Amino acid sequence: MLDRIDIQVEVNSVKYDNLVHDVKEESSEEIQKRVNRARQIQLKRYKGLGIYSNSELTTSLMNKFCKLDDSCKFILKQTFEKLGISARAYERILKVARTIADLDESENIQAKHVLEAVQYRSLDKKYTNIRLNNV
Amino acid sequence: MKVLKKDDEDFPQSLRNIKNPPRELYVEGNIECFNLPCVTVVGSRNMSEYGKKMTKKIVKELVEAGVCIVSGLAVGIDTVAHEECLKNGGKTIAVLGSGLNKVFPPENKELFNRIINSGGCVVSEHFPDEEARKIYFPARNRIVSGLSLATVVIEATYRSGTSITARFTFEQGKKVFCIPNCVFGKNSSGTINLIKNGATMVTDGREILYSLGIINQLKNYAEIVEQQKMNKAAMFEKEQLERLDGETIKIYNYIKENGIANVDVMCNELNMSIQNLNMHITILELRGLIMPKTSGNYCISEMLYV
Repeated sequence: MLDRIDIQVEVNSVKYDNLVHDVKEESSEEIQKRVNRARQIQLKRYKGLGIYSNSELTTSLMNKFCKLDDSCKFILKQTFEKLGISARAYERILKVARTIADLDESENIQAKHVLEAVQYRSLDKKYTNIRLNNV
Repeated sequence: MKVLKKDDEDFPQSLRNIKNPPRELYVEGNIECFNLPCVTVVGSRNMSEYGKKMTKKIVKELVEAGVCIVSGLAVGIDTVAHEECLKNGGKTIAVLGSGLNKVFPPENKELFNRIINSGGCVVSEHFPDEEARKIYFPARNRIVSGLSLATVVIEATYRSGTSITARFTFEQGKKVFCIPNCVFGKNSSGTINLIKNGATMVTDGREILYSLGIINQLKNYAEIVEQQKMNKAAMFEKEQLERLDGETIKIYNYIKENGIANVDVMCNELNMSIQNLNMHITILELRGLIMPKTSGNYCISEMLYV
C-alpha cells in the first residue's frame, strides 16, 4: 500500500528549543515561486495531451518525457536491486525525478535528480530492510 | 600398478608399525605421496550440506599448507574431500576396500583416474581383480588411518565406518579431530561421542596444522575470524571510497564519526542543501556504505561494524 504514495519522508519530532531556534530557511513565498515555475513547465510540456502534471503520466508518456541517460539507468537498476523497491515504486521515483528536474528547470532528468528522488521513497526501503533482516 | 611388500623400501613407513599391517599393498600412481605429511579426512556417506561445506573448508586449509589428504573414495564426505583437494592443487591418497581394477563405488572411477593423474595415488591391500566385499571395509579403515598423522571426522553416526576409522586412529596412538555439529543432527552422534571420548574439537584447518606441528603459530580462532572480517570491511570501505567524490566522502565521514546522523542536522552542520545531501545519501546507500534508520537517520552499514 505504501508504495502508492508518491513522496515519503520521515521526520524527527521537533524539540521546542529547535522550533524557536533561528535557522535560515527558504521562505514559503520563495518556494511558491519555484513550484509555480515547475507547474508552468509541465503545463507547457503536456499541452494537448489531456494531462497537466507529472503525477498523471502514463507509462507510454513516461517513455517520451522521462528519457534517461545511461548513468540514470544504472542508478535505477542499482536502486531496484540493492534497495529492493517495487515495480510501482520504480515509476513513482521516475515521476518524482521528473518533478525535481522541473524545479531545477532542467529539460532532461539527470543523475542527481534520480539520486535525490530515491530518498523520497524512504518507507519502501525501510520495510524492505526489515523484511530482509528477518529472513 | 606397483606391488609393495612389507619389507620393501618403498612400503609406507607409516604402515610398518600399525597393528596388523597389510602384507602387501597394490598402488596405482605416485608413491612419493606416502612421504608427505598426510591427514585423513573422512565422514558420512549420507552427508548434510553443512558437512559438505565444512569438508571443503578444512581440506582447503590443510592443502594450502602442503598436506596430502587421505580418504576412502566412498560417496559423500570422502568424495568431497578428494575433489576439494584436487581443486586446490593438492595430492590425495584413496584407500579402496576392493581390488584396484574393481573400483568401488563404480561412479567414482573417473575420480580414481583424476587422483592418479594429479600426482596422487590409490592403494589397496586386495588382489587387483577382487570385488568389494562388505567385510573388507572395516579392515580397510586401519590403512586409511594408518597412512596419516591424524584423522579428521567431519560427520558420522555412532555406528559407522567413520567411527571405526576414528577408533583405529586412537589405537594407533594418533589424534582424532572432530567438527562440531548440531546435537539433533542426523550425522552428529558419532562426532559428539568421539569428542566426549578424547577427540579434539576443531573449527579451522589451521588448528589441526598447529596441533600436528606443521605450523608453529596459531591465533585463537575467534581472533582469526575477527581479523578476516576487519580486513574485509576495511578493504570494502577503501575500495568504495576511492570511487566517490570529496563531498560524498565528507558526508560518509560525518556519519561514521557520529555513529548515527540525521539528515536535517547534517544539512545544518555541513552547510548543504537537502537536495544535494539526499543525492549523496543515495550514492552512499547504493554503494552499501550506509543504511537508513528511522526518521531520517542514517548509520554506517552493518558489514562495516567490526
